[in-house]
Amino acid sequence: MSNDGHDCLDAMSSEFIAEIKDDLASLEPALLAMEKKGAGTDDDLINHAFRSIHSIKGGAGFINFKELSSLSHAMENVLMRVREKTLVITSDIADALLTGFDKMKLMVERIGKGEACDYEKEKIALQNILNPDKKALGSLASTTQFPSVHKDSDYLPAEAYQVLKPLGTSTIFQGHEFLVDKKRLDHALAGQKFIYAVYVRFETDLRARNKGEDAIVDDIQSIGDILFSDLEESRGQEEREGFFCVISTILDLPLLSQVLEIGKTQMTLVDRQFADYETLVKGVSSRVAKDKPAPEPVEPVPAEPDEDSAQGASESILSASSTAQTLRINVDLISRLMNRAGELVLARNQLRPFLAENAKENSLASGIMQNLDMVTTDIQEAIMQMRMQPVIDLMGKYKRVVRDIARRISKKVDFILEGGDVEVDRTVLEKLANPLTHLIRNCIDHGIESPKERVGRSKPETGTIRIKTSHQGGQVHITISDDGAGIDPQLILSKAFEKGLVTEDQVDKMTQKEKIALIFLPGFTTSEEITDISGRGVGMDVVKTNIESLRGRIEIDTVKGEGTRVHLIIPLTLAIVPSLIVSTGAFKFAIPQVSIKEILYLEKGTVQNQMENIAGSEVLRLRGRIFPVIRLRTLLGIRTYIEATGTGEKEEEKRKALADRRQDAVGQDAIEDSKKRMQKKDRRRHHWDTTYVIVLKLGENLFGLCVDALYDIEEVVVEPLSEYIRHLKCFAGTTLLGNGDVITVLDIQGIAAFSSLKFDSIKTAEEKRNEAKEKEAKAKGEKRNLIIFCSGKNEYFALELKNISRLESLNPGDIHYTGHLKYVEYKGHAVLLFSMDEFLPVNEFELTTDEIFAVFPKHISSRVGIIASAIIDTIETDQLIDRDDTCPEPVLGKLFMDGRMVQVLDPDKFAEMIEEKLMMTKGAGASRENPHS
Amino acid sequence: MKPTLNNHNFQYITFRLARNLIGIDILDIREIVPCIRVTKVHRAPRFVMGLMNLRGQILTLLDIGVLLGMEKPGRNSGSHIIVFKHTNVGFAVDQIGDVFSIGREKIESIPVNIDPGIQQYTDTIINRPEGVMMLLNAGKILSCVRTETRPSKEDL
Repeated sequence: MSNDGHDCLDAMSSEFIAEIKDDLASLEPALLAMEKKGAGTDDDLINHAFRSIHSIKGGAGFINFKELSSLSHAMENVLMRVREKTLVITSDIADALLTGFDKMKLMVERIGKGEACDYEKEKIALQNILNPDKKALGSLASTTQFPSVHKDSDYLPAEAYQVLKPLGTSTIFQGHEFLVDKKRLDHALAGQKFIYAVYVRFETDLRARNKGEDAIVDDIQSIGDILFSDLEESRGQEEREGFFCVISTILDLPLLSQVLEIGKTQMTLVDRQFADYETLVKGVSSRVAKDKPAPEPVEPVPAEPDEDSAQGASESILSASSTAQTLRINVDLISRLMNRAGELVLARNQLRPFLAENAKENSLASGIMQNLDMVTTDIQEAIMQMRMQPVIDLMGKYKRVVRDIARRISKKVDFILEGGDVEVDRTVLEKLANPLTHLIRNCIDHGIESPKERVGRSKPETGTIRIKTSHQGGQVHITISDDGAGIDPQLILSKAFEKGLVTEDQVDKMTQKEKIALIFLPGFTTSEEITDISGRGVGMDVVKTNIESLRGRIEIDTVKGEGTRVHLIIPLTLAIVPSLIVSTGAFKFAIPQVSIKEILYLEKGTVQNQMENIAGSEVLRLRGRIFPVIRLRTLLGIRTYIEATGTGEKEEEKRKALADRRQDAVGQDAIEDSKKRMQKKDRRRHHWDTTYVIVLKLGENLFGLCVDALYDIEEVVVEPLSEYIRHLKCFAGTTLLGNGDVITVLDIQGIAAFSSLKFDSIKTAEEKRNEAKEKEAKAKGEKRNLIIFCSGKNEYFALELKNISRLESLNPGDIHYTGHLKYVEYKGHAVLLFSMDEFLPVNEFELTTDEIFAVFPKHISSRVGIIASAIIDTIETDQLIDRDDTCPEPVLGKLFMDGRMVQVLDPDKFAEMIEEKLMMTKGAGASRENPHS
Repeated sequence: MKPTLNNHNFQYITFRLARNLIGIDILDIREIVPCIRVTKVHRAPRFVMGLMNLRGQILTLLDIGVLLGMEKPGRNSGSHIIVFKHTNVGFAVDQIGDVFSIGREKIESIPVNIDPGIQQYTDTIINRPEGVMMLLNAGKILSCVRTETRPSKEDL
């Protein structure tokens, strides 16, 4: 096979190659689906695969790509058998088909590079499938030999032939009918090929184009089969200007004409499928082929075994081509379009004032402007959308990956895709390919167990890998989950330890999640041996860096024995960042929306309540917390001017900080300044009469940024800073607003760094404060659930519910006395009871009522109860506990509830005292006097 | 002057900047556009005048007046922007002059008594009968970020 055709790839060929690539892309999923469905494969699917391979063959033939054409032919033969239902796709056949497919892909990639592909192996594998009945194949294989013509038709039984009459009104074919091999015709029809009659003129079609007769035959054979030709007969007959042939091909008429370089008028359909059946049949039966021995009797065109399905299929071909709504577009072209759309916006904005001026005189102008506005916006949006691609474009490919890997390591895996229609910027999609492949490999290799193991663990034999994609708040969430073995944190830990990636000290402090996150460390692998699938230890850290380079996050949830879920959160697009547009003075800036926690609007008068000036630095008080506040104005050194309300006269602002009072503005000018102020009746408007504080988050930390005004949230396309300003920390990039303005995008981290906000130290301070707060809360009681019980007649005590294990209702008769100790039986154990008077100087407990209660406090070494005469209530209160020094231990403080004074017990102290009491009863119980008995 | 093929002739475009007439090789520039809204970049070096939208591309504008030490920053509003070839960098000038051709023999190195600051960005002058004119060196201007070390904290 020669490569001669690929050297000069012109534009036309590259079109064909692109088409071949598309066909290849649609072939693979079809093959995979066919394998899965086996014998139950529906006709649509087979036809789809068949059409794909056939167009590949046709395209390859057209660009004279013989290797591809030959290999695709071999594949086509196999698929043909599948279509005839004489072959069921097994995994082995699928293997052969898929390897053939791979080779074809390789060929297409290498096309034009002059590298030959050896495809014999694949071809033989494919042919072997068909070997068992090679004879049936004989007629199918496209013979390189010229098909025999009808010279010897006399010797063949008449039924073997079929008369075909060209359709259409072309005078060329008037009166001509062709006899073709019926078997081959049927075959061609079954292949849903078009049957054409073509008249090739020697002079114009061949000689004028420097083509030989053989060349045209080759051409035809590369795109289809020749069913009939009278080339041989016409040879040597001087009066003949050309020869007829009947060919079957998948190409439609215009394409065929293009491929063969023969005028459309010289070819016509003869396939009854696409013509009026009746007239054709009539025509055929009424006329007898003129110069051919008429077969007796002339059979009407045989009815298609399944007319409906053929019709349906042909319709679907037609509808498929008519509904094709996609078009390949070069990415550069789209970027250019995008730029131009930006310019269009700019031009519109420049035009706007002129039109506005005109609008006064001519009412048409405003209409034009509106229209222009709408169209421009629409164009811009549409172009943005062009860059988006559904994730299925990427994910679909993993079906094959999963199948291949699973087969190689003999595991059974189902692959389920959800949310394939979610659209992502193509650059993001490209960068996702690698990490996703890796994650999926991991799922199969490490996650899913072997079928045997799975059965042993009473799981279905076939594992499931599920990829779910969804949009959530401007981000794309991709979850890859498997129902495999999960990750054992202990194993991870020991491996990491083995490889010296962590120290023992570190290990001790790690949470479960952190342990699992160790797999992201470079060089980490749990595989004992390196396979060709995984185990080189360059896996997860690459995944992580890849995802992070997309400004995304990765999280892992895993349950040992049940499966693993990897969660990827990535932005929709790299270039487009939803940002809040703010302004300070006359300048606008964009703040990426992801960093904004909340926005505060400080009204006139409240500014100074919420903003405090501490030694020249401003802080914001918000819900009891204090945040550092940076003024964008100060940060960027924007000079501020104050506009006098009446005159519009501008004065430079002299205050350095927002919270400064005007009086202490700037020393020297202060007097003059105040004088000026006094002179003006109408007070000037302060730019900080109202202000916005944007609370920004930087990891866990928050800080405020003061700006003057807010605008819309825009999706901005961030462009990097040029080298002259790249060193500026405060900016992440520049962008164009919808109106053509250039603005800078603020870099939150950079701003914090520029303003020397050192959050490390702040964090520790925060922690300390939290600790202190907790302690305080203990004493103060933010919200507590208290149980109020009564000891004696009217002395009330309260214990927090969380410190009580249970309450029991008792009969006074249930109490057993041993000396001065009281016991009660509880679940077969004797439980010691105390009364409050044993701890506190309160009235003695008297058994007056019929029912008493026992409160069992928690955190005591043995079970102990406190006797209560009544349980009053359980309440939830954030009431402050009144503490004073008169409170004896273990009373924490006093509360007033419904007119009762309640003594709140300190649970820790109380427990301590009970323990003490227990010790005493143990050691010196006997020596104690019993006040009760 | 007859253009010759042996590259002995150069074409220059002239512009005015702070009353100086300056020339630049026409092969170094991509286009000349009217100066429209310039966005100031805060905290940027003094020689960065700002950013401008040029048909959807963001141009960084340098302040040649500052680089040459002729003007204070921000003073030069500019009427036109000269955009350097192969870059998205331009600079503002007060007025665009004309294009002229000149033979190599008319180009001389800059007199040594000229301010060394200026000499950083221009190393030749044209000795024309009607007057001497400085020629900007585009390459040196574009690499100003490396040569310019003057403090830029003025507009704090």
